[in-house]
Amino acid sequence: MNISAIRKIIFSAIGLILFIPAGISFYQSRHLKEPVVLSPGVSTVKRLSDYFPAIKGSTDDCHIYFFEGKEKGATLMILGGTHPEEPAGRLAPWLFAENAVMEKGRLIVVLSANRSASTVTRIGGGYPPDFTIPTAWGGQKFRMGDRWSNPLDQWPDPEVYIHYPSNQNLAYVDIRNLNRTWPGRPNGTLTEKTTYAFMELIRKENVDIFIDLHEAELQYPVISTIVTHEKGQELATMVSMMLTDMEGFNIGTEFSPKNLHGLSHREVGDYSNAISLLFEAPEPFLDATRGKTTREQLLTGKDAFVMKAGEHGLLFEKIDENGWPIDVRVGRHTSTILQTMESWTEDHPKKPLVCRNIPRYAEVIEKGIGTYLHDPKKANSKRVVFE
Amino acid sequence: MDFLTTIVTILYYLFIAYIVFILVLNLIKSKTWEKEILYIIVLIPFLLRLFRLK
Amino acid sequence: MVNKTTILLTTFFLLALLQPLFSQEKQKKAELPVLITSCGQSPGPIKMKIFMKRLKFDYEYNLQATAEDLIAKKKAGKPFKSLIIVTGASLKGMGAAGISIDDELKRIKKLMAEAKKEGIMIIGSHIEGMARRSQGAAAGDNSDELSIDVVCPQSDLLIVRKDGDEDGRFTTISKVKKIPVILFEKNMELGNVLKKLYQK
Repeated sequence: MNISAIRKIIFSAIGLILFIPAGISFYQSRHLKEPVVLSPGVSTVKRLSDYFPAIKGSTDDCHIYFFEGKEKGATLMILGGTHPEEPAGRLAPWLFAENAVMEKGRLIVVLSANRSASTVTRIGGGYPPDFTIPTAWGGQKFRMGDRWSNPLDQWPDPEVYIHYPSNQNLAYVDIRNLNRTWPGRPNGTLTEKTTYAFMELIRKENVDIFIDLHEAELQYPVISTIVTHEKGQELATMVSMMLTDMEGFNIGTEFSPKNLHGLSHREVGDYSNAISLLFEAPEPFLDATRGKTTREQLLTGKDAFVMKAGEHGLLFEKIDENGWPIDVRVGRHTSTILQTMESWTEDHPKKPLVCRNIPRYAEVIEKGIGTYLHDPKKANSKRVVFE
Repeated sequence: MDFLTTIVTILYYLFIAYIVFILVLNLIKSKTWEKEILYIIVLIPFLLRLFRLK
Repeated sequence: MVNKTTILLTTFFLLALLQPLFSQEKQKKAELPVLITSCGQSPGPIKMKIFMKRLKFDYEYNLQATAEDLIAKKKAGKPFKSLIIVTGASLKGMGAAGISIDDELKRIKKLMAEAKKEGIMIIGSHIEGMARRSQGAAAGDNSDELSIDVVCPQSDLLIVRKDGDEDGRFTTISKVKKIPVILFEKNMELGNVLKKLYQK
């Protein structure tokens, strides 16, 4: 064997040393099981394919958690995990899945709306593959995700994404963005089929209020706000006013633009009877100006570089040395959801929504998210589901 | 639409397999260490995609 | 000789005569029906609408109200008695309405001119805090301030959420232009402000 051949074998071996651990890491994070210890308030757990069989067996065939109130009322749906790189958008509904009890009305919770996107991290983003929320029993690990569906589930992207049915041209990559494919279509891509399935669920279950949970970078103007379809303007405004006055955090309102298509706050409201709302909380991890992309930065929201951008007037939300801890972001969402139920009930006493056992903003900050997660090893195995 | 999407995806993976084949062939034929390293580095993401890992 | 009783009575009468000088200016009252509109297409006017609805006041809500709307109402024999213009701009809102800040300012100037002609009380307001001023604007975007510049110095009364006046913008306009200003702290206080303003 000559030197050239030996050299090629050595280089190939080095390549394998890089390839194998990387491959194992990617495989493990894609298949990481996330336990959900069902709240006593969960009456049924269905699958998204129950509403659209064509996605049965696919990565996006996620769990749907139903909470039936003791008394009849309205139906509220919380959609978590549209963008799994926004962890508060999954963790807030997780607290509902593990704790909520509906006294009046009905609640539907989704934790992994774009489950495919939760099995991959941003290509070239250097994201950590997972993060851990400290709990009484050590910690619970969650998959870190991306904004877009996993290319392993949907690929390749077209040159131009033409949104159905508006024919609006959107960025090519947004064909894998769940929040650009509403209302979806039955014969489209996986992501389009997923949003179609959710629309079927919303229509069949007569959802009155639909809430999509998100986080945004501080350089993005739509932040710390409720984006509302015109059907929900008064409700969103009331919620915004009450929270700003009573709970000590500012949250604004923005109206969903009628000529921007594909987003849940536009299309869910247009294609169903539901009021569609979208809640945004700040997440410095997403800012392009961020420093190190680490688990710590993700969970604490502390970043000197983003702060520097703030000093130069480049941000739409304040940030200081305290950062934006995940507890604060999740607390904002839980309070906003609870206030939405209360403000709705005030104006619709015959179709109430009353939920208990969910902590509000101050409580989540004081006690931490982990306080409200339950140890799957100690739970009844029949009441544990894996996302 | 569904059928066309599936066909395009299959063609894409066949194309990836072909690129892997070409890269390996070029690695074997290569005469310089710089190019060998380059082929190995370029191969890794293609292999990750071909084996449906990333 | 002047006795104590005379001194006391005289003092009392003098104070009674001078009392109006010391008393606080009575809050201006406005009349219904009221037209609520926006200068800048921000979500702010909805707050006004919510409270008007709860208070069961006679109002009309038109985010793109024009001078012609005032004229039409007058011709129909039901003229507006007051006009609330909520300042603060939203590029998204204006984009959705297909208008620019220049279009908004032109519309509002004509509206205000017609309101003055008809003797309609103009109430300029800013009720969304600093998030609807410099804090919420992109670098180089001064549309919030332009809307305030056009509306507030020409108003008969200002209603402002206190945190939006951190830099004294509105209290300065009030002092310089001698326009009464009502400042409130919390969003839910706006209901009481409107109740006091419109109740006879």
